[in-house]
Amino acid sequence: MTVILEVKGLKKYFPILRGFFRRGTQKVRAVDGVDLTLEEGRTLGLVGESGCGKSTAGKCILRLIEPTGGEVFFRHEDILRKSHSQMRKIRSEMQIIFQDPFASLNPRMTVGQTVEESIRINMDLKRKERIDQVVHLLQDVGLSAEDYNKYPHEFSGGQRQRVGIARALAVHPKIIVADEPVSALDVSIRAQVLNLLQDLKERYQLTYLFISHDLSVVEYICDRVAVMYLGKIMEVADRNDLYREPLHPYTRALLSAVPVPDPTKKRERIPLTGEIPTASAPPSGCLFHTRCPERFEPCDKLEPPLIPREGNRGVRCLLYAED
Amino acid sequence: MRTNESYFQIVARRFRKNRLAVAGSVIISILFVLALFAPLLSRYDPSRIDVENILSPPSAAHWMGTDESGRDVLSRMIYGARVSMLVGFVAVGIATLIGIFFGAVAGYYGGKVDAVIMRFVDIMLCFPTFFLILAVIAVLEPSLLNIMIIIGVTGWMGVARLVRAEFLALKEQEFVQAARAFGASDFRIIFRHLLPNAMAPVLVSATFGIAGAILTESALSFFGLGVQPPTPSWGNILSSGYKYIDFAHWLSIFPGLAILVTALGYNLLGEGLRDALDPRLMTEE
Repeated sequence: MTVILEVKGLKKYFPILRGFFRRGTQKVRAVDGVDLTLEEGRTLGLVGESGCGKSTAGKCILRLIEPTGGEVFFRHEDILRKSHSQMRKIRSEMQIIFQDPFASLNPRMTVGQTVEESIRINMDLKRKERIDQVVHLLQDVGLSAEDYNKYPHEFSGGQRQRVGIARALAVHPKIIVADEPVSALDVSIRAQVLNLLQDLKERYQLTYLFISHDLSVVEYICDRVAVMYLGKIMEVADRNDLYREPLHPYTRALLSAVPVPDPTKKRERIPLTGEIPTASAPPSGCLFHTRCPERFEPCDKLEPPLIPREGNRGVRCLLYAED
Repeated sequence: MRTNESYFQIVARRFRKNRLAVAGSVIISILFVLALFAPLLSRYDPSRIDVENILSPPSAAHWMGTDESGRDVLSRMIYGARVSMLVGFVAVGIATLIGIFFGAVAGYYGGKVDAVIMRFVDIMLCFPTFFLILAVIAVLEPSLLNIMIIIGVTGWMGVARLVRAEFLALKEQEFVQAARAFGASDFRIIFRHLLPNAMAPVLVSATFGIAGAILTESALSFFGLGVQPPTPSWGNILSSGYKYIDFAHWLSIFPGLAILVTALGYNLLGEGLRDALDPRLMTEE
């Protein structure tokens, strides 16, 4: 497997601006040293509760938000060091699908114009060729040629999401960051969109970074999963390993909360007590110790590193520290 | 389910349902026709002096009577509509362009640029506009062109604030981020994605602005600092007429009514547009 994207120590701190002079004295550590590796043709899931920084991380990788620090290697080049004009040229290689299909389409542009615009900017094609491509793309995502001249408000959420997918595909990207692409959709159409994404991955040879809080969706679509908490990766493993044998107490708690469609099956729920701490004042030691059912002596003092484990996985928990 | 109806068609449909708004647009349309075809519609030359018929009351020959020089008031009113319309549109056009430019730059780039522009807006808003215009006119010569420019240059701050606020909200929207993600330039994002979505409140405020500009012009002309006689404007007709109000009330009533009805028409139109463009009502029905 070739590594197509490597993220090292990605950081994004948002200053909290206070007072008349709006000086940022405090910081929200939305993303605090995230390492991720995307292998070509595979899907990496990034999961966590709301507010853990997973969307911010995704947008930082595309530089839609400027990261505070870290490195993002795309084909062994650090794209965070590129100038804005250099960056514009590689933008078409990495696209994003957004969560909210109502906010992600310009209400004043027809669906055709929306998809065509990304082609127009990135490819030197005649008008006729562009329109042909758009029609082709619309059909690929399950819409029809007649939809070209329709406005976003004429579509349902699922259809709009398909338009968003067509727009992302139009520029032949290598990587797609899917930022909660099905969370805003009705359960009944989630599966359709997920299957579409799966389909397109084969047909367009894509690599996904799939951001979600829904562990059952992630299990369905991802090959490898990273669990995020308060801006840090707590555990990363191949999907089957993670779901069969979660190591981190946080992952275990999350997995125990996934509903299982079998009422006779009894499982032990691991309740998480308390709220997720604020990222402007993260807890000392292990970020998770305030809610951890298995915390012991040094957890509130020692911050565990990501400890490598057998089977190409890692876990950020002192339970697995050697000494 | 609605089919293939563009945003404009939805707005037009909702606008037509509003009777007051339609009344407003009828008033404005009539004024437009009057202004545009003034030479065809007026029976007399507005500056033709007729010493035989000084201050004659409304009659079949002179529907709105004649003034102190025997000129036909109706003809002068029709030509006055030209001045009012022209001042309204040009002044507001200038104000809107300046406002959009500063508002867009401040809202899109944010940070220090935004801070500087918005403090400048605050400073401009501190001046009592009417007296500022009076002072400037006192220095420059009071001509139609100068009035339009000055009303425009002193009236853009509201638009700038509106556009800035819209841009601040819009630039965080995901469709703008999507445009950025496929490499759209700042220019394209501003003009293709942000401005079209920010135009609704600007249009409404421009409509109200026209009413304001017409009132300002009338007031300036009334004080003799606006459009100079013999060019007729509602303000200077009123100004020369109020001296005779005891026995020639038509000289004051008609221009006064015209100013009132015009301002009312634009305000009705503006309110109608505001309701028709309201995005909160967009999804219902």
